[in-house]
Formats: sequence, structure tokens, C-alpha cells
Amino acid sequence: MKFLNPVGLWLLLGLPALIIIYLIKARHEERPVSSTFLWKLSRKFMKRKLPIQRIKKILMFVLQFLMILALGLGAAKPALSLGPVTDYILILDASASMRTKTEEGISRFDTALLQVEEMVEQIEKGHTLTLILASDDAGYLIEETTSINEARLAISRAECGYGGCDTTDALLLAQMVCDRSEYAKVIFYTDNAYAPSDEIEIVDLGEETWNLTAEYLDLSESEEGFVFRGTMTSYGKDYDLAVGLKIDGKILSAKQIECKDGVPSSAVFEFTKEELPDFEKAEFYFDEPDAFQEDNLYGLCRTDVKQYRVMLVSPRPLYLRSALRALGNCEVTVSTTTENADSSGYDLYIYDGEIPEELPADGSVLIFDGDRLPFGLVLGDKVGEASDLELSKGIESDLYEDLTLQESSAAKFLLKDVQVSSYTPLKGDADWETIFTCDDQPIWVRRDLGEGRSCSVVGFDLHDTYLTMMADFAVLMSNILLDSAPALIKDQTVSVGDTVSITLLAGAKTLRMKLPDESLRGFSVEQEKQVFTPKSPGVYSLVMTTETEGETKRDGFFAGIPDSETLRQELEELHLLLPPEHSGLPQASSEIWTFVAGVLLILLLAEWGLHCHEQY
Amino acid sequence: MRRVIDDGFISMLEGRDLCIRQHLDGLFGGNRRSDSYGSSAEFADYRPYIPGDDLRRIDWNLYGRFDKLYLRLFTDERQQHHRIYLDTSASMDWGEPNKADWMLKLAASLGFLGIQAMDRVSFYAIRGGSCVDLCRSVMGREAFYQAAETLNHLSFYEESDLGAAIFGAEDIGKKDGLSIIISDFLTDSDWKKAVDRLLSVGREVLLIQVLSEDELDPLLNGKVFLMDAEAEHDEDDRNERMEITRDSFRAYAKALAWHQKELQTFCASRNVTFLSFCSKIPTEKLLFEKFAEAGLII
Repeated sequence: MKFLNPVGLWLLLGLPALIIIYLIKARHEERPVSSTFLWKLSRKFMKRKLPIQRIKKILMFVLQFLMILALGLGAAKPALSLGPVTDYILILDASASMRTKTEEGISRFDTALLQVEEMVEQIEKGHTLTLILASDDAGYLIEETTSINEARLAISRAECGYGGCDTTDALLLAQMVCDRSEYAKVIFYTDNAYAPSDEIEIVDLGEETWNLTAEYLDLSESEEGFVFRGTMTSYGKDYDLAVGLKIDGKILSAKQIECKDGVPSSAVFEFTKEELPDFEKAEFYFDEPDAFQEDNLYGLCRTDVKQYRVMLVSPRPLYLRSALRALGNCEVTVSTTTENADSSGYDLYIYDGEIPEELPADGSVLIFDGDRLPFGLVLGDKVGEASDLELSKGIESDLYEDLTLQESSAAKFLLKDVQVSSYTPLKGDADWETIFTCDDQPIWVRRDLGEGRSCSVVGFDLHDTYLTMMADFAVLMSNILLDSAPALIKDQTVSVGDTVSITLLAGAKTLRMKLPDESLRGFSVEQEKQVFTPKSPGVYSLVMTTETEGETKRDGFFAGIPDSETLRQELEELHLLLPPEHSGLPQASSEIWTFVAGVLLILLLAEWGLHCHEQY
Repeated sequence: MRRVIDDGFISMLEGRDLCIRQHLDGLFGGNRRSDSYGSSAEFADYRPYIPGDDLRRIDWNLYGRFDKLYLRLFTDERQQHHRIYLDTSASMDWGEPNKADWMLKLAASLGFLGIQAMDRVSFYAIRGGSCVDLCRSVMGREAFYQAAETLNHLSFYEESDLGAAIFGAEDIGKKDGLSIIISDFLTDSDWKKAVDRLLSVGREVLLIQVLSEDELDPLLNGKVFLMDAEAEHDEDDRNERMEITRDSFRAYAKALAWHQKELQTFCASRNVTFLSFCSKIPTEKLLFEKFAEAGLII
């Protein structure tokens, strides 16, 4: 039995209170009389009581007892699984941490599957079974089946992932079944410590275990050689472990490292250029018998260092030149006039104040406070009052995402604190995307030119704002560079299950990816962008060939186990957000108790009336 | 301290007399006419002369007229001895107005009426199973006032066994007066035995029952532990645990009526006068109205 409103059970405290009242009431009040002669004599004249009347004395008590019981149960809304068919909805956490094994070598996921198999027997009793697998994305393994064989087949197909657990989607899927169901029961098999929920039964398979985790691998490259720094932590106990470094699948070095419980430790591996002239991928790993071994490896993929070429055309190029040079990956060519500026061979052209008659055919363009605007963009009336610089709401470009990240991670870069003393609003067609606004008027717009190129126009002079004085202006410029000439892969480190966006560069001919299991996968170069979701941990290498003979671009990323899987999570209560009638349990039973309480109340009042009449 | 009777009430009683139904024996010198012929001044009858009779009582006028000797007979007057038995159990010291006060005032009044008629009056306290002399053979006003003083100090406690006390009493008199028993008769005692004993010696018996208002119409409710005034401790059998309901009251009323009917039936069968009163009735009204209506006082 389950109580939908357990608070109502407090009413049952009335039962002991009632008993106490009756025990107190049972005491006879002492009343002195002259003689009990007549009272004793009166017994002969008392009506002979029927046997049923003998229980009349306790009838009031029984009625009151039952009424409090019924009220308590009615308020607590007991829900018995009395419905003809209960839809069992089993959510199976298939996140990486479910691969954690016991000393006997049984993983949490296997334990969950065994329990799920036991639930299959419910089908024989006429109930239905839905199985939802919640890995980095959630999906039905089987939906409202009444077939045991079908259910067992689905269970046999269930596999544990290496990513996180998409609880939100899993609950949405469960809710869809609940919406169709009359009586449903939702059970969530997981190893995370969720707070108890009224709607969902949590089967907690997790426990605190010893876990070693490889947390990071850093590479420093110099003229002398390479320095790899691997970071690892032992959770649960101190441990001396042997760590190794694999270069392109071959073990090149190993070390013994002392790890303190919960304290990150590092292992440094150094190689000269002679020892290691070139490599594609490096993996930092250890082979120890901890409970969760899937996070015992961290890798990186060597990528070509992108060197951006920028043409800066500005009569006063101080701020922009300094910011670009500070990034360290820019080769900046400065020209004070458009006539002297090159119009090809650069990744990014920045025009400050004036723009050429014809825009360059290659690279991206960034125009500050231009006198003429391209692609039908129109200048509005100049505003001379200081206004706050604000990010446009609802923009979807990567630039926006990066800026948002910077905004949240760097507390000093708060756009609301940045003002523009003078600006010119920009007006263009729908192809122009607004990046920044002042007084809700677009002052920084961007247009996609295809093949990774873009054109951005800024409606104010950088001298009219102290945006350039802020440390994060460099970040902004870095993002602009990325936007102007995007790399194949933006992030070199992702979690399993994350979506990786691959941007095809101009002139792409072929694009291949080498997976951690050394298998190859090809991508179409028809579309400008490709997405890929890594399903297992490891290093993913990308090689793109271009139409230029012999030219290739290398990039790659490491997909690791999500940080959330490393340690047992204490999570908040889960809710299905379903109406009460779909809470998985019949409501009729609580209504019955309320009805019973009402009937008992009437009986009690009737008995009370009779009792009062009987009393003189 | 109680005062059972005062001069004002005594003055109201003057001129009243107890009405004795039957002619009784008694000591000479009283004021009550006897069934036998005596030497009083009141003419009673004639009878033929028998040799040996006192020649001074021959009515010579009749001899002249009928030529036969007739003797004149005169009424014999005797002094009665009334005995008043008072129930002094704890249950009598109860109620508002107090039954004991009511009983003592009635007893004193009846005693005064006897003394006023030149009779003797004795007061007895029924205490347990014995009859205790309070004031014996009271005659004359002076002695009455002393007796009244004794009654003023009378205490009420424990229980009383009317049957055993009167049946075992050494001196209950003979056919020489009225025996009055005043009690609430709320007892298991065999009071009938006492009445029969008194009747067996020729006493005229008067039973007076006094009940308080709460005995006639009790005010109780719910679960009660009725503690009998005569009970010696909490676990005494006379105490009773009850749940008072409407049915209980109906049964109580029936029990009371049955008990009084029992008293009346028995007394009627023995030609004994039985009167039952509530202590709420003032003694004046009782004596001058109720007793007068019953022909006990003239």
C-alpha cells in the first residue's frame, strides 16, 4: 500500500488519544449518597438487555475509532494496486557509472537487469511492462508490452552506455505512458542517490566504492620536445598506482604515483623531439582493480595549431591590434587605408571606420562604425546618449554561446556594466543576426557568407566604449576569430554522449574519423556542418583533405566519461508532474475511505443522539 | 448545634392531642380513657348488682323505678407510655433539608403532644442492632425540655438494624401506648419483625418514613461510584458502581415505588399506620395538615 499524502497519517494519532480519553472516561465519578439500597433494588427493574445491547457500551468507541481511522486513511489517500491492469514503467539508468562492479564482478547494470527480469513476471498477472533505457539519451526498449518473450528480448538487448543518464527525457517518456495509463507504477533503477519521491519508486543500486579516475592530460610542446602531464585522483582510499602513457597505441612510459584519497596527483612524461618526432594521439591510463574502470584513461589528439591571418584596416588600430596580438595565434597586417590594404589571402578582414568598394572574396569581414554598409544593411539615426550594451536575446550563433559562457564564468565581464556613449542602430533583412543591442536596437549584426565565412557589422566606434579596456575583450576577439575561420572541431575535450559539431572548411574534399577502436568512419562533405555523438570513451581523430593537392587538416577530440559518473551523486527528488489521477495508483480507494468516514460520522452522530437521550 | 423545638412551636402544639385509636391499658392517673371501668367522674354504664359490689355505687333512683339493684359504672382513665424509636444511622443525616433535623423535630413534637396529654414518652435511638435509651419515661414539661436537649445533641453514624434492635429490646412496653418508628427504611434490615414484635405486645404502631428530595428524585448522570453514607470504606459492598442512564432512573423510580408499596401493604395487613414524607415538607404543615388528615392528631 502507498499513501499519496502521508501527512494525513498524522490523523491516526487520534487513535491513541481516543483510547486515552476512554481510559480516563472509564473512571467512575465518586458521588456520595445516603444509601445505595434503592439503587441496588433498581437493578431488578432495569430492562433486560439484549445480547447486542451489551456491546452498545463500546459501540460509540468502536464508531469513533473507525471514523478516525477512516479519516486518517482518507486524508493519507492510500492507494492500493487494485486496478485491473497496472502499467509497470521501468526506467533503467544506463549511464557509465552503472558499469561499476562489485567485488564479485557483477556490474550495477547487471544487477538492475536481474531485478527487471523479476518484474517480467508481472506480465503473467495481466499487467503491462514498459522499459526505458536512460543513457545519454533516453528511449523505449519496450513499450507497454504484455508479451513475456518480447520483454525478455528487450532486456537482453539492453546495454549500458558510457555517458550520463538523461533523466529528463526518460521521465518524459514515462509520463507519456502514464498519460495513457489508468494505473501506473514507475520504478527507476539507478545508482544515484535520489531523494525519495512520491510518484517514482527509486531502486538505489549505488554505494560508495573505491574509484580511480584519470581526470586530465595536458600537452606542452616546445622546440625541445613534448611534456605530458596527466592528472588522476583516487576516491575512497590512498593508493599507489602505476600509470602509463600510450602514444598512438604504444606504451612509451610508465610511472609509480602515490595518490592520496580525494587529492589530485600528477604524473609528468617528457619526450624530446628525437624520442617523439610526431604522433597522432596520446593516452594516459592505469590498469588498477578499482570498482569503475571505464574512467581510468584520458587522452588527447594532436591538432594542427591554427594561425590566423588578419588584415586590420584602421586609422587608429591600437586597441584592435593589441588585442589580436595578445591572442598569440594571429598574424596581423595593419593598414590605415583601404587603398593600401590587401583584399585576399586573409582569414579575417577588419575595417574600422571605412570599408572598401568591394568586399574581399575570401575570409570573414568585421566592420566597425562603417560609413557604408554591405548586403542592404542600413544605418539608423545616430544616438548620442550613453546606453548599455546588451547581448541580443534569442540568437543562436556559436559566437553568442561562447560569449554567454564567458559572461557566466568571468564575473568581471558583465555586459550590463558596459556602456556605449554613441552608436548608430543597424537595420537589415532577416539574414542579419543581431548579436548586441543598445536600447533594444541592433548595433552588432552578423551575416553568414557560407563556407565558414561571415560578415559582422558593428554600429559604434570602439573609442566610444570601454569594452576594449576589459580583460574579456580578448576572449571576445578570440571568439570572433573562431567565428571567422572555424576549426574542424571546436572543443578538444567532450563527454561521451555530447554532440560534437564538425565544421567543414572551404575546399573540403574528404573527411574521415578514426574511432577509439581504430575503425574509420567517413563523413559527407556536401553539407557545411556535420554532427557526431561519441558513444564510447577514447580519442577520436579527424583528417580532412582539401582540393589543394596534398593538403590535409588534422583535428580530433577526446570523449571522456562525464564527470558526474565518477562519484555517486546526491540528487533531488524526481517528479513526473502528473495529475493525481495518473499518479500510478487508483484514487478510488481514498474516496472510499472518505465515504466510509462520512457514513461512520452519521452513525456516530446518531449514536451520540441516542446516548444523550439515554443520559438523564 | 441543632435546636429540635422551640417555644414558638410548642405554643402552636398546645391544644392539640395525639389520637389513640385503640383503648389501651396503662398506669392509673392518666388522662386517657380505658376500655375498662374505673373510678373516674365520667359515667360509662350500668350493670346489675352482684353481691359483693360496692354498695356506694348502687343507683338508688333506678331501684325506685325498676325495683331492681343496678350499679353505676364509670370510665377508667389511664396514663399512656409512648415510645419513639429514632433511626440514627448515617443515612438519616442527609439531604437538604436534613432528614435528621426533620425527624428530631417531628419526634419532639409528637413527644410534646404525649406529655401534654399527661402521658409518658420515651425516646430511643436505633444504633446498630440495639435500642439505646435516650430519655426514658419523660413526664412533665421540665423533663421534656431536658429530653429535647438530649435530642439536640444526638449524633448520626454507622448503620441501624431496626428489626434486631426492636426485636431484641428488653422493654418495648405493653398495651399502654403508641410506638412510633421514624426512619428512611432504606435498609435491608427486617423491620417487619420489629413491627410484629410491637404488635404482639399490643402496642399501637406508627411508621413514619422520611426521605430527602434527592432520594426521591436523584440528580446523577454518567458513570458514578455511589458511595453509601454508611459504608466504612471504598471497597464496602454497600458502595455501587453504576452508569446512570434514563433507564436507570426509570428503574430507580420503580424501585422506590415498589419499596413504599411494600411498606404500605405490610402495614395495611397489620392495621398499622404508615406515612411517608419528604424532608422538604415543613413540620408545621406535616403535623397540622398531614397528620390531622390522617387522624393522628386532633
